[in-house]
Amino acid sequence: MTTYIPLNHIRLLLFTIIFFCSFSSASAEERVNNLSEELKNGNLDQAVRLSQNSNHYLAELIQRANRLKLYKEPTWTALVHYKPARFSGQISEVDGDDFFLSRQGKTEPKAELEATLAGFFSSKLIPPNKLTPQCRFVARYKWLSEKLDFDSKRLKVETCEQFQLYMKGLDPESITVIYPTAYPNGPSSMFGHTSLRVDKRGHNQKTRMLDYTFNFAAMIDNENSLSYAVKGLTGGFTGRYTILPYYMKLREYAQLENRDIWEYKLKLSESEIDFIVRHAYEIAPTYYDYYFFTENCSYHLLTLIETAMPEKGLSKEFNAWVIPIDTIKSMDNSGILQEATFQPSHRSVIEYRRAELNPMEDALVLDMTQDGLELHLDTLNSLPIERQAKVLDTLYGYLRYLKLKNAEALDTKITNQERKVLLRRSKLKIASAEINIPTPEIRPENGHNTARLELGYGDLNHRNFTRLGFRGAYHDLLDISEGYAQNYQLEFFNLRLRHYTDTKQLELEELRLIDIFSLAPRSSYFKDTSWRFSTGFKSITTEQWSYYMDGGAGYTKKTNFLKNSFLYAFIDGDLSFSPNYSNGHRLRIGPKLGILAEPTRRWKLHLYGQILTDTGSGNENTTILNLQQNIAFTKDNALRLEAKNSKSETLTEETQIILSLLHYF
Amino acid sequence: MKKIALTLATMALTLSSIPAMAAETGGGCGVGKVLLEGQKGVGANVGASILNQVLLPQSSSMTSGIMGCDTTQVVKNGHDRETFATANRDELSVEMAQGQGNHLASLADIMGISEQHRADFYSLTQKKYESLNGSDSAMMLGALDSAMSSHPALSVYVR
Repeated sequence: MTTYIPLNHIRLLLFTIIFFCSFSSASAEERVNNLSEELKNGNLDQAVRLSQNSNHYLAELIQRANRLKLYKEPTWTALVHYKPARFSGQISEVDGDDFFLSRQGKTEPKAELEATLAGFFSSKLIPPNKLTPQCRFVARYKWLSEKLDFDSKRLKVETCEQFQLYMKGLDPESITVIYPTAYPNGPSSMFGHTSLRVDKRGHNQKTRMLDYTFNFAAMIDNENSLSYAVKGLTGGFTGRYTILPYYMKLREYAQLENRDIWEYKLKLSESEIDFIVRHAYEIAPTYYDYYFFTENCSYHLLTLIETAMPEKGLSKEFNAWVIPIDTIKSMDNSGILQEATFQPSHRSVIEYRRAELNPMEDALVLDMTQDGLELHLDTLNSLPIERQAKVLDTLYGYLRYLKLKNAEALDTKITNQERKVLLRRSKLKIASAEINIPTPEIRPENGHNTARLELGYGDLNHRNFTRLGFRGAYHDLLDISEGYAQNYQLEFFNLRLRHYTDTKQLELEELRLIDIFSLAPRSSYFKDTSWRFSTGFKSITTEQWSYYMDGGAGYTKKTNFLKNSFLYAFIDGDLSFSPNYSNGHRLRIGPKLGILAEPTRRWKLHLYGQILTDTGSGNENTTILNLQQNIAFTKDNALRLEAKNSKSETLTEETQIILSLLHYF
Repeated sequence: MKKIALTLATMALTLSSIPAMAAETGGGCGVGKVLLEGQKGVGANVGASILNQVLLPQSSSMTSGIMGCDTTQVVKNGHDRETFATANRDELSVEMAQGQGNHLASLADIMGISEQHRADFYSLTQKKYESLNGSDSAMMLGALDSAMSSHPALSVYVR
């Protein structure tokens, strides 16, 4: 409060000077003329200043707005994207100058609101899209006109042709959040992605692809990975909304990247939908600095939706990182998610179609893939028409999959082999049956939370210890699969401390910065390679840490042993750096065999054995056997038991058993 | 806690050069621009090659000349069938052969074909598959028009 008093004094002083000046040099009429001049030229801060003590309608509006303290209202905060600044005050997350009508707009909500009101009187076409402020800031206009009840006789209502076309084109009936699930082999989409679809009136599930989607994305030129990482973390990229027909996004996600998609219809009133679409119109031409972790695609989708319901604080709970699935959970917690639709990826469709074939037909598809259609026409023709259609549809889908997987950049054209299949298919003159892949029972947002706390008690060669752990994100192989991929681990910042009961010392056990494990089963159709990689710090003695990178690659087979399991064989190894090792590092390599099983929905186990041969001193072998089990008793609470034995020729044998309580939050 | 985590993670990322999060690459305003130009008559083929480019991550040049462009202008009241057919030629070709599909339904929607005539439309495009799938999408639409004009129920939908 005290800071306001001097400020007010200064203002008073300024007013007096202005008043004095105008009194002596300009008549009231002249002042209004000057004001009109400033409005015409788009000098809005000056116009606001000149309007004071004038009888211009702008002065009245500003006075009423300030009396109502509109600049403090959550809607205004959301519309201009103000967030608390680092030390005090507020700062808008928007980084494009064109988004602010006042020169102080980025940090002064009040100045921005006053300049916006002034802007509504101005016919000046402003950058970047050469519109008047009324037609550029259509959400601000709507909100302020409702709050202040604009008098159309004193403030001319403009017809904004371009905006009307936009609204007519969108004609929104509902808004849907699009969530393409995580995609293990694409680093830029490891955690998934979200975008917004505006559902046009009159479209149905089949024609939804004609709807428009709003995506917030980093504009990325060709970058090498290092500068990509650095720029991504420091806001070096520009983030913008792009608007594209949904068919283009479907192709990108479902066909090219083989990601299943979840579509969540939002529970919104007609006026909320209108407001979001309006705000999208005013935010799309500008930009934000893009940060991979915080101000990313998912975050700025929330801030867009938030404008219609600022009181829900959708974007508030995020600070250090924003994971797409967490934003879906946040919307779920706010109660704005309605029904979800599952859109299977191209690969899921092939798998579905394949499951409908008998073994002979299945083999025929592979034969025709390899040798072409002609050699196997007799076999094909011996089948009933409907079966032929199923075989050809699977064959085509598979050929396309192979084609896209190996496609050089631009070339997605249908090949001759594909064309022959299609021609043959058209001659059957029957329509394919609809693809009816059931929606997975557990929706992604109903999976466990992504951050995890761990409290464990263990025994290492008869020494007892307590373990404390924190994991930032997001899912490991033993976490319950519901809502996640069953065979894909992605962990980010996993810290474990241990406290030995005898020495009473707190030690760092390990700090895993990144840990990826992709167990992609190999079948006769999909010849995937499984791989894993992790890096971080590990303790090797009580005082010494090592920095390590480990990883491996190999094949995985899906089996029905223990209901649902993945058997894998890897060549695995680790590279560690520490002054403790001769030469400062140690490289070990060797075979690894393991099985990940899910006997029940709430019980997972992972057993592996491996031999690591030290490539340096003496080729010493270390044999490791590890059995981990995880039982979830609720969605976000689980019990984990790990028993590990490690034997080598020179070091003492180590046996360690740990029982941990896990809590996901 | 999370702040420290972030710093350490930054280190790790730089070391391992793995960008971590949902950075969607791909077309920005550039696309909208070209889409528009295509629609203004520079030719549907330009639109097509660009539409295809959009699918491909990391295609540069999309981002150049971004200033002053306005992606809201991508939104049109109704898709024109030339752009749609050019952009979805492969998918349409497949669905014509298979006698059904969402792309084909969307094309029918754009052409204003009513629900009761959709089945006719699908079986016609299947029957005429060979003549419809010539060298480019302009030909596809031309052949489609002529096939439809001699169909008793579908001729009314020919422009």
